[in-house]
Amino acid sequence: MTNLDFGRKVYRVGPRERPFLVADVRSTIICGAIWIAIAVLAVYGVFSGSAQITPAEAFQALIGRGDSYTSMVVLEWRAPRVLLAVLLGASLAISGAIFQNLTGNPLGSPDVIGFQTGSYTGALIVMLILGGGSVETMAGALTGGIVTAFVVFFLASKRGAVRGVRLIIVGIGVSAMLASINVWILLTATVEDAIMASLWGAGNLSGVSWSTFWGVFGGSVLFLLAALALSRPMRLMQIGIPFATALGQNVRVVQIAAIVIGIGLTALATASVGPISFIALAAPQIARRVVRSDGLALGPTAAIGSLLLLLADVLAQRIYPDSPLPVGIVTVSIGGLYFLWLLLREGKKK
Amino acid sequence: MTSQPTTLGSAPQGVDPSAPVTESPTKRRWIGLVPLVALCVLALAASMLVGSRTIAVGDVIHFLVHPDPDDALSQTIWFSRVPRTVLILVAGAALGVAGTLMQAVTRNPMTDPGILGVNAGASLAVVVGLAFFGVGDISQYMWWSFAGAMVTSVLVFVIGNTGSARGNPVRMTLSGVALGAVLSGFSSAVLLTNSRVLEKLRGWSAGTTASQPLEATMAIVPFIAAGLAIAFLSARSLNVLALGEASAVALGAHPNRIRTVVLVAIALLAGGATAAAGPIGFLGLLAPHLARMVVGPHQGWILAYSALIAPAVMGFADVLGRVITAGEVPVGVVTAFIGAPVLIYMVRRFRVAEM
Repeated sequence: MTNLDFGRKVYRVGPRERPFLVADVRSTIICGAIWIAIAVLAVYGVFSGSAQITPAEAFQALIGRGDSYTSMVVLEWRAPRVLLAVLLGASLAISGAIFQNLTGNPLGSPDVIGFQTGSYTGALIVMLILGGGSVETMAGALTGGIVTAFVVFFLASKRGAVRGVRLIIVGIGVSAMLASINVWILLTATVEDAIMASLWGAGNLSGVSWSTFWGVFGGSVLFLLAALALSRPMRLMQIGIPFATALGQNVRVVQIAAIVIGIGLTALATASVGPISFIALAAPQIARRVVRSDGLALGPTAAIGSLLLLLADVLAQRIYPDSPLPVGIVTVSIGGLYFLWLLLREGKKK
Repeated sequence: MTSQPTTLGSAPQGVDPSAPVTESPTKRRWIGLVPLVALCVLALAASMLVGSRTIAVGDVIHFLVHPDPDDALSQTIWFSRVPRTVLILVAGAALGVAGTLMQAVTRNPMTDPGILGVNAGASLAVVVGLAFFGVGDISQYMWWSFAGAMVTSVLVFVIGNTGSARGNPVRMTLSGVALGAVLSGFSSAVLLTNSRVLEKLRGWSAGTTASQPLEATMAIVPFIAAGLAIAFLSARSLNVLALGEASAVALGAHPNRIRTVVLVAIALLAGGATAAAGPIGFLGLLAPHLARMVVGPHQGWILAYSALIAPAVMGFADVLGRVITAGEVPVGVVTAFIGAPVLIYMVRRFRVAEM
């Protein structure tokens, strides 16, 4: 390890010649700050809400001394919801970071390549045409999303290469077709069914329970660890596929593993709460800018993803207290506006 | 893309002194109009005849000339087929020309009012008008639609054109897609909390010709006519703009003035069409490309061809949507299925500049 670190301060843990952990100072401090913010927001999410429960009562419930109603609201409704938001935020963000790395493009995220629209189509077909229950809907969403992602990859690949803008434009085209199918399926349903299905389709965290949380937890943690293991080879690939190959990396294997992890993370989120867009797109980009990293920064990305989704969910429940919005609508608004601002700012700077 | 410098310089007035070889491109372009007009008429005729029940040609002509309020067939023709056919003609021409203008003014082949979020902006304005301001009638909400289309096109344009990457087609497409996503997000936020508006706009939001009476279409005709007039009058300026910003300025043009005028036309056309038929995508993408294949890079001719190609495509798409299932597939769904593959083909076929 030389001192060529672009002038960035780093913490090293371990022997001087071969430290086993090199943590960027700025990145570490920022991650810490974000996690504190997440904790504060999570506490706020658990302690407040539409049910009339005072913070003192909520606290009693948390330490196991509340009455049955308070305990149910705080422990069974609010707590899993907040934790799931944190977990899925991180999952989606990492998935986005992986896809952006794979495509070498800041816009290559699962929502852009049509995964979310495809999973909505799958879910709609199950919900409104085949009349399946929630488990079948999950299966339909997964199938739809994965098939769409592969179709987009296939259509965008030319002589084996899928980097670049082509992927995004193909994604836009395929998404547009699927979106119009979705509109049409919704049209053929009754208004009540259409509203129910649209609520799912907008990405909704309401009604999650501990069973949802634990179901997602195992898979997410597994994939997140795999992503962590993959971060070094992916950083190498960022320099360029020829370089990575020349340095002895098996690019093909890394790419396939990355695709599986990326799709797996998004699929978990989509199957459990419906398509939530823009977290995957925006979080890696925000993270890169906040920690001034040159590329993949998994830690900050996950933290920002969690913060974004939790914030969006807290907002979604409080904009219209009478009829809470699906969180996906808030993420699309916040994320989209951020993204536009980004395009504007980058244009001005240069 | 298909730009050939030789044809680009050919005189727009019809006489081309520098081309003594065989026939002039202008003559070829005039001749090409004939089958196109025929095709367009055929599509409109099909829209009159085909539907949940097929009506004989003789009956259509008879009842068109002698409307009979007591006859069911006459009612079908006058209250279903005629409004739909007129709407196809009007909205189709508007969207085709709006797409051409958009591609010309952004110098981006992968653009149309749908992709750039203009239709989404117009829809959002209509949704907001219906939900919060008690707007009920198309003659009122078309103003909302125009305003929405105008604001969105200016926004996309500003975002896509700031800084050093100005005019980068991919950047502009992306900012349009992002803006469209945000705006549709807002629309669904309103719709999901407001089932009255959802019920009212459900059919419209897919892009359909079936929901409007003839009067509604007639209400937007003046605005679309104005938009078309502006479009055709700006054809020469757009030709100059096609040479690039620097060359255009060197030739004495004022690119920003041209863009402003054209944006007004786009708002009138896309806003008007969206108000009447809902957001219909890809028609504006498809038409100019087909037109450019035939006539080459000459904006006036591309506009004219697009104004005929788009209604023809929309007519056939609408008829296809009527017969393909027992119910009816909205025309917006069918055009997405025709147009999106074209976008995908284009992006596979041509080299796309990286961001």
